[in-house]
Amino acid sequence: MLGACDGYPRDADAMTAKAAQRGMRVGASHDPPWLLVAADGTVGGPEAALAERFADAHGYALTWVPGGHDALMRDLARARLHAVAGGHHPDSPWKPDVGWSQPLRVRASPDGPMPERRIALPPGQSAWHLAFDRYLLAQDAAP
Amino acid sequence: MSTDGIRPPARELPAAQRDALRHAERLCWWTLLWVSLASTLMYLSMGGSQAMKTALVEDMLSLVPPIAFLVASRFRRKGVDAEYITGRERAFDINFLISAVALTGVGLALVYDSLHTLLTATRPVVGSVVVAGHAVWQGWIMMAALAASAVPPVILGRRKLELARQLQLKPLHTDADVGKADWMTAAAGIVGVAGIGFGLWWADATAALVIAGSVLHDGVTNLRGAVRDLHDARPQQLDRSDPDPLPERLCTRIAALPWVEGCAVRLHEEGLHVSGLVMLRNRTLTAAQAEEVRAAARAVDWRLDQIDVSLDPE
Repeated sequence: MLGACDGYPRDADAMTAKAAQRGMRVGASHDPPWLLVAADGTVGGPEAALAERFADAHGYALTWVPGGHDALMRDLARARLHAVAGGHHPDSPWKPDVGWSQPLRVRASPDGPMPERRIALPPGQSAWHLAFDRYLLAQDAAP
Repeated sequence: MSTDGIRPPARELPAAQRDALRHAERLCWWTLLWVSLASTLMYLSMGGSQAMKTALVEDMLSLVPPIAFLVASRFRRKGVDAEYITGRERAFDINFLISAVALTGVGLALVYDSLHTLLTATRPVVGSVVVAGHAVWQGWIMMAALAASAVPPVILGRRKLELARQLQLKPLHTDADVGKADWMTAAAGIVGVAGIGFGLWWADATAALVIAGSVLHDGVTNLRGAVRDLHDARPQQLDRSDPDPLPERLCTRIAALPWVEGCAVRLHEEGLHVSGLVMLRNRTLTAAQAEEVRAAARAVDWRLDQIDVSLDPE
């Protein structure tokens, strides 16, 4: 794969190593039908399933952190979360402050629409960001 | 309106200098073309790098001197008329002031921006781009764009500097100087982005701060130069180092005239030319003697234009 040199690029806050050691912490902002946060804190929906598949593929444990969108994005900007799914508005004031994945290409129902949706990633974590995007592209390429 | 009192047109530039000015204008047009292309490339690939943003601003800024040079050059050619009774030789001085103010202002803004990023420990965002179906770290694209943006200022800057040195064109020298800051900026930007790749979030903002410092230094130096020029301060050499040997050469040449008992000169720069006063320590001065002094001055250097002669027996 292009540019897949071991150890370059790296993370500013060792997010990849933290995911391997302590698991991924992913913020979940209720955003039906793409990401659903139940009253008991259970997280579901196609975007949640995508994050879980990514964690499984890399052998990371995944902890969901449900919460309000702004509070989650603040934590993401400080690299306290590995990602935030759901609740992103196209004109979000957070847009320049955090990283954004490649488009997710998920549908809420088998023949439903596929709008351009992305997951927010922590800034400065180049290796982590690249690994997430490569996973998304591999998913797209899969039959 | 009466035409009395209108200054004679500025001294015609020698053929070599005239050609050089035309050549310089063509180089400026090339600069505009290449820098615009490089800036577009950088804008499309810049991601969240502070150093790259700073390099882009520096790139856009480097458009100001060639634009000002082209405008000034065109304006200057209109020469003396009923409105501009002493000519338009100072067009290049105004161009110089505009470039200096722009550089200083943006330098200050960039220093603030980089310091803010460093002090708030903001992590730069560098994501990925899809190339032929593969996700590639955006940093590679950014470094390639920065490297490409460094090529035109290196080539055009060297040519401008040669031309400026050869033909004593100070505005072109300033333009070449800004071009030099431009490729150094690109180099610092590459270091900054490479630093992000090593997980050193502060490398980017530090590189940006170094670039911003160099922009500010350029701005302040040029601003001081512009203030000097507008005050008719004593002439400086092409690279603005002191002193320009021209006044000394002129004085020596005038003092060598057999009837001159002593002389002093008070010269200042007016765009491409140098004008001023020759003060003779004689008791009397005839019109023929004054003309002899002016002719001798014109023979010393093509830059000497309007020379007034007066008596200064003290």
